[in-house]
Amino acid sequence: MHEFSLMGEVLEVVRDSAREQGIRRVHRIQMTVGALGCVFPPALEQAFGILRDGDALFADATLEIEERPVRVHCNACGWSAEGADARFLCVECGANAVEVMSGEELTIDGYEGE
Amino acid sequence: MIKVRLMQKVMESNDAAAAENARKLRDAAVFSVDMMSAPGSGKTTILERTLDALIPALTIGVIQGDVDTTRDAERVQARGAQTVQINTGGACHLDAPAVAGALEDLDLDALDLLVIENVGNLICPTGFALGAHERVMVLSVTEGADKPEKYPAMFRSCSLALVNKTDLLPVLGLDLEAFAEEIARVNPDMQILPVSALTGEGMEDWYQWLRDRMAEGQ
Repeated sequence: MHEFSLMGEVLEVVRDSAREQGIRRVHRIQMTVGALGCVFPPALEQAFGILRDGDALFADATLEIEERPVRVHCNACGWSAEGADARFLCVECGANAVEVMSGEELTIDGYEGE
Repeated sequence: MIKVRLMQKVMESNDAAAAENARKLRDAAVFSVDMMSAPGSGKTTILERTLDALIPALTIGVIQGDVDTTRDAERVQARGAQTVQINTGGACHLDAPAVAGALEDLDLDALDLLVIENVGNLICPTGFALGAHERVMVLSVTEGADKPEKYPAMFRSCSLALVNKTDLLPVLGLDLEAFAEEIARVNPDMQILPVSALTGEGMEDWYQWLRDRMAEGQ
C-alpha cells in the first residue's frame, strides 16, 4: 500500500500549487499511471477517498487516472508490442534492444478548481 | 474555473532527496548498495556473511529498513557494522528522506561501503530511489523462477541478482538455467551471481563484485 504515501504526495503538490493560484476548492485531479509503475490505480483511488475526507480543499474533488499500457519497441528489428504481449527481450529477433516506449509514467498532469 | 497544468512526476520530491543522498555519499567516497528482495530470501544472512568476510579490511555501514522490530539490526550490529535502524512503522518501503535521516546518524567519512537493506517487498520499494550507487536484488531459489516475470519493474530496476539458497536446487528439482532465462526475459542486462549464504558457495564472487565496483568508484 505505498499508494497511500504516493497519494499524500500528490495532494501536497496540488495543495502547494493551489495556494499559489489562489484556488480554494479543487474539483478534479488528473494523473497518468503506467502499468510498469508498480502502482495499483484502485488503491490510489481508495487512498484518495480517505485522504480527501475532512479536507476543505479536496472535499468535492474527483480523481481521474489515465492508465497507460506497457509499449515496447525493438530498436534492432522494429518489432513492437503492447500490454500482455509486451516483452523485454525481442521475441522476433532475440536482440537485447527492446526499448520501453510507455508504461513507466507516474505523473500529476494537472487539476481544476476555483 | 481555473485549469492548472502541472505535468509533474509524483516521485519528484523523493528523487530530489535521493540525488542529495547520492551527493553526500559521493563526497564522502562511500560506495552504496540498496538491497531488495521478498521477505525470507536470505538478505540478512547474506549481509551477515558479507560483513564477516569484509570487516575489518573495509569499514561498513548498514541502514536496516524494517516494518517493526530491531532483530535484523541487532544481527548485523553484532558483526561490527555501523548500524542504523529505520522502523517504517507499517510502511512497505524506504524512501529517500528516511535514508537522509539515517545518513545523519552514520559517520560517513569513516565508511567504505554502505548497505541499505530495504523492506522485504517486491513491489512497493521499486519506484522509491534512495540515492544508492547500485540496486541489488536477492532472489532465493525457493521463491520459484517465475518471480521476474511477475515483478518485472523491480527486476528491471536492479543491476545485479544474487540467486540465493542454491544449496536447495537439488531438493527443489530446479536448475540455475531456469532462473537465468527468466531474469534475462525481463532484464537482459542484469548480472546474475548464484550464491548460497548457508554453505558460502559463490559468495566470493559477490565480494569481488563489491570490491570491483568500489574500485571503479575511486
